[in-house]
Amino acid sequence: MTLLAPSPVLISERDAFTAYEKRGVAFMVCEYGSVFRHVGSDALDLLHRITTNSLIDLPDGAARQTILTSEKGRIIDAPWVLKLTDDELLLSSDAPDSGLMQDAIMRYTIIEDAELIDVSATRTRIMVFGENASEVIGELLGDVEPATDDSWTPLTIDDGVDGEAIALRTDAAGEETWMLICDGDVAARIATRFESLGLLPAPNSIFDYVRVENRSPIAGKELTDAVNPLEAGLEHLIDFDKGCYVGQEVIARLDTYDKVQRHLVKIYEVGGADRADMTAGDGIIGPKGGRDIGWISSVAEDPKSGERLGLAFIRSAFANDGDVHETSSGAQIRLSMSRN
Amino acid sequence: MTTAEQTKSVPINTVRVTEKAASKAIEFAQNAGREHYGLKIAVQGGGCSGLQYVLELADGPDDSDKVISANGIEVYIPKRAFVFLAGTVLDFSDGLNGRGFEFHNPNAKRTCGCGDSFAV
Repeated sequence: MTLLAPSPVLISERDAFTAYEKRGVAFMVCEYGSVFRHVGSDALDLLHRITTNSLIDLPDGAARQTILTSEKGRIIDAPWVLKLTDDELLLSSDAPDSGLMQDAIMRYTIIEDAELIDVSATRTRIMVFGENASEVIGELLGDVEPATDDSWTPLTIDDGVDGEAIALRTDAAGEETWMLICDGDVAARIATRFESLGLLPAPNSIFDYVRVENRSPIAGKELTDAVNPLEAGLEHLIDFDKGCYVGQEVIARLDTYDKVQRHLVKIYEVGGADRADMTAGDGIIGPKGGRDIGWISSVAEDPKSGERLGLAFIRSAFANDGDVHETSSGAQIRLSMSRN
Repeated sequence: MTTAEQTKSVPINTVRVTEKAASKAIEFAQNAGREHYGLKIAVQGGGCSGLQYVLELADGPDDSDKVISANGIEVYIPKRAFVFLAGTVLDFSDGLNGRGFEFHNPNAKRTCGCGDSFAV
């Protein structure tokens, strides 16, 4: 992924968070994830056939998130699919390892006219998040009305030099979140424009804090092959009427017979200073020192209070609001079933 | 001959279309008023198990198709799909409990409930 040149002014995480709270919005240049062009007359049809969401009816200029699952119904990736034309799509993934998505799509490309091209080196993704994100995007768009449905909006940077980007509302941080996809030089100019609007660039830790606070899963942390889409709370990305796709039988059975084994929950670190810190990857121990009942997938810290929170997968029988459990590293956590 | 025996008897470098399947495909083509036709058999990504069969009437072979003559009909198989189909028997099952065209594919390690998709 092309990165912006480092800002000459170093901003502390605390200052960036204060600015985010005051302005109700911040932006982050993604240092993770990837962008692919998927070209060919069969590209959209192929993705429709191998992923959970309905894509075949996607009109030009629209975007939809979908999930690639394995034959066992486990998550491979959850990319956004942006339809540029009938023969050209853009795929955006948050996963740290884009090879998983690439391999899965290539494996099922046999007679199809479809080619997947990694353009991450020339495309930058910027996340704009916070309760006033749409307002800021509106200011960036000028007279253009930002799309409010599942459409992406072409964006022209009005600073005297031609520069185009795509703006798409994804709500990836669990609240108003827009993703901008553009060339690296355009990204630098967008960042300058944002700073003139009073926004500060946020480090990933702030985006992650907001995301975790809103119990929003992300590829590579929550969305991995250890879980299925129902366990990750992604029912809204599954079209149960579309027919077959890879993993469909397993997912349909889990849904029909209510056999979802785990749930994604928010957790808070509790206990005194003598306790160990919880870390991502820790197992969660059941009551009375019993067997593992889950694991921690993400850990974040409130930049102001220092309060540590995270996301975890817990076996459904133990996913009760307010329950306190030990982790394998000796930390103590409290479960919260609320979204924020 | 049972289906398992039929599949075993097919050389691994070809695809066999049973007499019943061939005559049914010819019947469909004639009912559709087609003069020049062949049976296209291919594999594409999709279905519960990852790969699904494609079966359609085609006017003629594409440049990259392998062409097989079987029981009075020409069969066109894209070379990229052939690796998944080598040794397959295409049969037709009719009657009240019949399932229509059926693939008996020795490469399929797993098939989904409806039989339309498979994994290798």
